[in-house]
Amino acid sequence: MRNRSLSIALVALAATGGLAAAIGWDAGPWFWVSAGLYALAHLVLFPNPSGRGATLVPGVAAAIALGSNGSAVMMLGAAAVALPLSVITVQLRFGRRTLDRVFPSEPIGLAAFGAVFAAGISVLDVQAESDAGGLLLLVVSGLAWFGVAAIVQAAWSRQGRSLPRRLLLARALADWPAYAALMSSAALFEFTDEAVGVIWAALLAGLPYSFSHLSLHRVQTTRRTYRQTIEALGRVPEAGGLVAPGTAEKVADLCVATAAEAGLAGRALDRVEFAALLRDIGRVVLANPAIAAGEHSAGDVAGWSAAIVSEARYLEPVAQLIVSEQEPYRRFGQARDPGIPTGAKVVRAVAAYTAALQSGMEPVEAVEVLHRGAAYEYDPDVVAALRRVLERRSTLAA
Amino acid sequence: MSDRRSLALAAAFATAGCGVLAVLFLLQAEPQPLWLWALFAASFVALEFSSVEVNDRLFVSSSIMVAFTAAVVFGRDSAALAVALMAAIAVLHPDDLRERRWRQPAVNFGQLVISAAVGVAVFLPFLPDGPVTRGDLPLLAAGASLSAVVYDWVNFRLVRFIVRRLYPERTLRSWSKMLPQHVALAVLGGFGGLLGAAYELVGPIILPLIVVTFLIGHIGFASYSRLREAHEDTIRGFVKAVEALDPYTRGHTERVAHFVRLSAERLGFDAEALERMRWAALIHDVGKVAVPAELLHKPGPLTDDEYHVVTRHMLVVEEVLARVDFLRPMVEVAAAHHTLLDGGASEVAVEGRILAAADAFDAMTSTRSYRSAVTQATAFDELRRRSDVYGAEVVEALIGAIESTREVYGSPDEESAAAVERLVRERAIRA
Repeated sequence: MRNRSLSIALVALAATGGLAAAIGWDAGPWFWVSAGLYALAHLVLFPNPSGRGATLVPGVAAAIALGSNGSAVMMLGAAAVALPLSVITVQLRFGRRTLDRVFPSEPIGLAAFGAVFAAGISVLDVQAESDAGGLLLLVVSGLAWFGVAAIVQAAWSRQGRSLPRRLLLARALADWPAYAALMSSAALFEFTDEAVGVIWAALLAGLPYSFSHLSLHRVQTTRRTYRQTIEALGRVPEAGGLVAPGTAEKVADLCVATAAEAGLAGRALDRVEFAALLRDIGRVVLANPAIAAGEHSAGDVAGWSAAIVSEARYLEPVAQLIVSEQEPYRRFGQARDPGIPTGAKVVRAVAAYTAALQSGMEPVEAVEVLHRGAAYEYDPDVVAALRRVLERRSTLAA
Repeated sequence: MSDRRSLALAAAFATAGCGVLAVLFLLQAEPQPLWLWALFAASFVALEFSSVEVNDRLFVSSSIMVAFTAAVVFGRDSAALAVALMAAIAVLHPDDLRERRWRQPAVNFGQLVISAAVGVAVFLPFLPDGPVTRGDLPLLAAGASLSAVVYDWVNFRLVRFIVRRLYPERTLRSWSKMLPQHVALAVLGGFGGLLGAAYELVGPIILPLIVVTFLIGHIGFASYSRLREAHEDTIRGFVKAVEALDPYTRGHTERVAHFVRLSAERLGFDAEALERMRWAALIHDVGKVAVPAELLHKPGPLTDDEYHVVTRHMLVVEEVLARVDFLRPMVEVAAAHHTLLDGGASEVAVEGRILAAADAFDAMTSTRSYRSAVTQATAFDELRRRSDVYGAEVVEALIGAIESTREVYGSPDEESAAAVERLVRERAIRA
């Protein structure tokens, strides 16, 4: 929610609309229970593979949609009434960053879900809570929510200045397990509560939910720890005074943005980041004065780094990137080498750009160095991608 | 493993499994409809082959859940036969078929069929005579939990019997020390019973919902397991690279981790603490990467100034590693052990003292650039002499654990130690 006044006005408008709908349709006590559930659903974040948690709202919305047989007032009116409280809850409990991520993508996604579900019920004329048609409708409207929310999140994110929207959309789409687990658990509760009773239905839905929650929580924490470990290892040469402080982090940040701009995603992008963080780890060899006193090239450092990194089996592709980074895009009189991975070309260009900055050049001059070497030292497409990233970040503004 | 013994065991277990199935065919009706049994069997086999690591080293397969769901769905008349048949086909692992191994599948066949038949037989009295009603739910859930534990216990006893016959040198953890696994299986069994009842009361519409949620959990745990392995692999790889910088300490980290585990197990630390201390042992010398090599390899003891250079570099690296949430407590343990080696703080946590004693033992029993390895007996005497530093209980735990493994470290005798010492001194003088 970037424009504060406009956001407050929209939230107030939505809440007023929800309240008017509740009065107009003479909503009963379940309406207020639903509104309370919507607000409570913001107290817990369901862990996501991407590391950005989702609220429990998809689960609550699915249960309300099935339980009310697609009543738009119950699905959307209750959520609108709860919106002010939900915003405050997220702000207080998880802070500004989560608030910006959850709103407005979540309410807009929910609106898409409610509209598709309510329309589907009236067209198909099914009993949502007991027919297979209700389940099918839930899948379709859930997909609508997920897709719309991902697009809004990618378009709205503050990170849009530093990372390409395509990457932000890919990251948002990677969070499908949260939506699927929450909605299927809620549906399980709704489909069984009448036959087995509320307590047993809660148990039946609760165990698979807990299983998914626990597993994704472990994925999230382990992924975070793994990344922190690589970052810490990347800082070791700095700790030994062998590299300027902050170099690894700066190169890695720019490498990720440039690689994403150049079209890399997923695991390939992670490898580029790790290569950028660990490309100087071989400098620890220079703690040996006998080696430090002798001549050594950038290629030697890359070789030492790759040797250390390749000791970890899982990081062998990263070691390959570190070695390939030393290869120019094309040697004079030769065709370009198609075997050099794009990731290596990205690290090469970004490292050269960062080195130029560290030598005292302005960003514009540093990019000019890359332009002069384009098509021989550096891949022109990668240089263009880096330039676009820098322009988006306003780094190249005079 | 004796070839004849493994053949006899395979034949005995295969015969026992076939016998159990034959008895069940006589006593029970065939599960109907067949397509539903095939569906449950396929799920059972898939889950049996893909256990997930839900916690550090705690592997759980959800196949037991499917077994008890099927038991409720097929009812008292055919539950035991339906589940035993599912278990019978779950031994056909593609790897065994590809490599034409049949002895292990034959043993597993008997083991799984017997465990399943006994487990479900215990569950039969809990199953209702007629259709399942809402009132049956508590009994079905409780009965399935109890029967899952019986299934698990029978399976454990059979596995122990097989291991003792085929691999007498191997040790297995006792059943009572695997509590988290039993609890997980009891919960899964109880849930399976509940699921079977819900299937009977609501219909097959609930199956896709359960499958989706469990599948996500399954994918999550598989992903967690891979990430965890990658993380450990990265730390180990880095430690190996660090050790390569100093030929005198190659393998030191892995040995210290081994001694730490032995001592901590003897002192009764739980699995989580063992895991924590293993990490501490693995990273305890990572700070060496930033230490100038001439100091690391210096023949002879360090001067005060040199010693400060070494500790300063190590502290800087420890600070960097402490930024990793998971490593922070371990870095503290590792740092505490360095303090202890300095003769510093006496109030070091027991984890730090265990690590320090293990580190000291390995240092004494390894040849370094400035002295040779001592004998194991000398190292034990030296540890006992430093009992006030490490704590008597820690020292005795380490010594007792090493003695019980019958492993011997260090120089074989005083004469060899003296000979190596002479060579090392000559090298130091030349340097």
